[in-house]
Amino acid sequence: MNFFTIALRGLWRRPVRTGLTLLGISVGIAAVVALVGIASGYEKSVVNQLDVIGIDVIVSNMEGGMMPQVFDESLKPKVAELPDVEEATTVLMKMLMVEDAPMMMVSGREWGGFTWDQLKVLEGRMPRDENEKAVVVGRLAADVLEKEVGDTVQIEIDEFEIVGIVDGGSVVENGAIILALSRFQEVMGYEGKANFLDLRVSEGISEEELEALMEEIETIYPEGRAVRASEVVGTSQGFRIAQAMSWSTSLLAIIVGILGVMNTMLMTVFERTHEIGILLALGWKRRMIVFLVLCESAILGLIGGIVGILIGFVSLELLVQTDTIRGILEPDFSKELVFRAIGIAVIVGVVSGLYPAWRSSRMMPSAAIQS
Amino acid sequence: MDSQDQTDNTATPIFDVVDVTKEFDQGKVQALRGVTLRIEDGEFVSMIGTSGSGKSTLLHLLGSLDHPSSGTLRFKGQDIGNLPDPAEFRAREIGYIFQSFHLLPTFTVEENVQIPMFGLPGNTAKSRKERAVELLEAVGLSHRLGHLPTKLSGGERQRAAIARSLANNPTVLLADEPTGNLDSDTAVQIMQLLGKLHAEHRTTMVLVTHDIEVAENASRIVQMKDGRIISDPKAPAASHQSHPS
Repeated sequence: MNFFTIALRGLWRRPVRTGLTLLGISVGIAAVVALVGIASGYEKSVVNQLDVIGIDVIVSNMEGGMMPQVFDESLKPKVAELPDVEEATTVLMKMLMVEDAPMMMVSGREWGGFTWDQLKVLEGRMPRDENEKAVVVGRLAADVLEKEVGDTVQIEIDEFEIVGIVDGGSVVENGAIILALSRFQEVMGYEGKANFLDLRVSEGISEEELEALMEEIETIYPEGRAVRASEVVGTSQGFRIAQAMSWSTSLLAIIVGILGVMNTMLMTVFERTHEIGILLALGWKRRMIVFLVLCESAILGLIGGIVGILIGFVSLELLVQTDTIRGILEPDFSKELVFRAIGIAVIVGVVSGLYPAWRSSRMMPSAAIQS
Repeated sequence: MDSQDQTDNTATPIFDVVDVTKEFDQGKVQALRGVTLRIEDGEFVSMIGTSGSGKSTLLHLLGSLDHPSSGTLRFKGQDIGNLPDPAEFRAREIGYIFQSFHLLPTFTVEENVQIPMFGLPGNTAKSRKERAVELLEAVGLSHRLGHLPTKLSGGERQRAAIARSLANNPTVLLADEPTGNLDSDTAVQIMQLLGKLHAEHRTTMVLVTHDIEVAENASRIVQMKDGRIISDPKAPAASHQSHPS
């Protein structure tokens, strides 16, 4: 028997209450894992998509929402002629409700631009030219929409023929509907407009040269920003709001968890006043009692954290199967998130135990024994 | 008086209690009213009195479970009345036996005996276990090591509690009504066990009881009433406390 055994036995005395408290912490931690996992997964999915396509720099105006503001296509030639810009292509991308799918990425791409290059046709073919009223759909999107080659899909008020099913190499690409930019501009009423200008820059460009290039682009397009592909999500105001909301919700869940553990530990301390008195009478130091209470609450946090991570993981897996999220993001269930969640859970446990521990240390053994 | 209880009054006593008072509820309750008592090393003292006489309060003060309101309380010449952290004193010097046994219900008998050993540094898990088994064998409970207290009879529980009180090899055993919850036959057995332990280990023993038959097992009986000692065969004449009320 060691000190850890004594702490565990303390928790085991009231298995139902301990179980309910664990459930409270677990739900809090599961919320952290699920919400942060989704937010982070969205970021990673987008970065992965850009990486697969081979975009180095993105020019957009990310203020005001998850999707950037549109700009005039005339920006492209001005940027394309800058030194170190190898290729430039415009994209109009929107999140739309498409038939039964509540949210789907629809990407209108400049015909002949490099953003078409990585798409591998799994079934059917690519559109013949930009005038053909046709789309290709990513394999996840085809799955969500329950469509095959030859079916039609309604985008806003227009119907398009699905001429191919493609593998884009990333979750976001595979969850998207892709069509020629000019066709999508017509549908959306954005003739001559795009909201992304994707660039490939010269190989071997130095960091300083890249910085200088991005600064120059911003002088040409003062409302927008030129950012490295890896940083594009972080600059989105909408994403920042979503991320803040996910952390705020997580914080609320954590506070609920703290209150739950504190309540349990306080009740435990009050209930065990007599037992604490006996331990003091038997020569236990007050700091040992404090440590025992903190140890018990930390164990609650740790176990709650582990269970919470499992619940969070299962929830994430279930969430990404829903039509709303499927094909838009790949949940991020990284080691970092796991360690962070366990860290939060143990801190929740210890913080919750501080006040009960302090209360227990104030007891006079003679009075505690007689209680 | 047992020849073993012949003590040298010039030696430093185990306990030297001088004019100690204890008040509760901001002075509304006076549990002890100027108690003076000297207990020598190796003595077996019974404190007898009715409920509210102050005997348990005095026992708590001797065990440093509470502080006196006034007066001096010394252990082997050292003032213990207001120790800032008396835990180490309790762990090293005092063994407690309670009327209601106070074994921890979720721990086995053997684990209960190990509990006080956590109060002192240097005990390994192995040494704690070995010591607990040895003590439980000494009180005749070697067949009950892995049982929970709820599975034991009253007498067995008190035996386990006695083994626990000896865990850290204390200088003093303080027993608060150790037979109060036992039938008369079991009470006799427990008192025989305590007498045997006292005889074998020369542990100073202070026993609180309201039962004169139990008290008579000791070599010295101190009688208390209304927070005062009204009878003590060893009380110095000058400080004899048969105060007028």
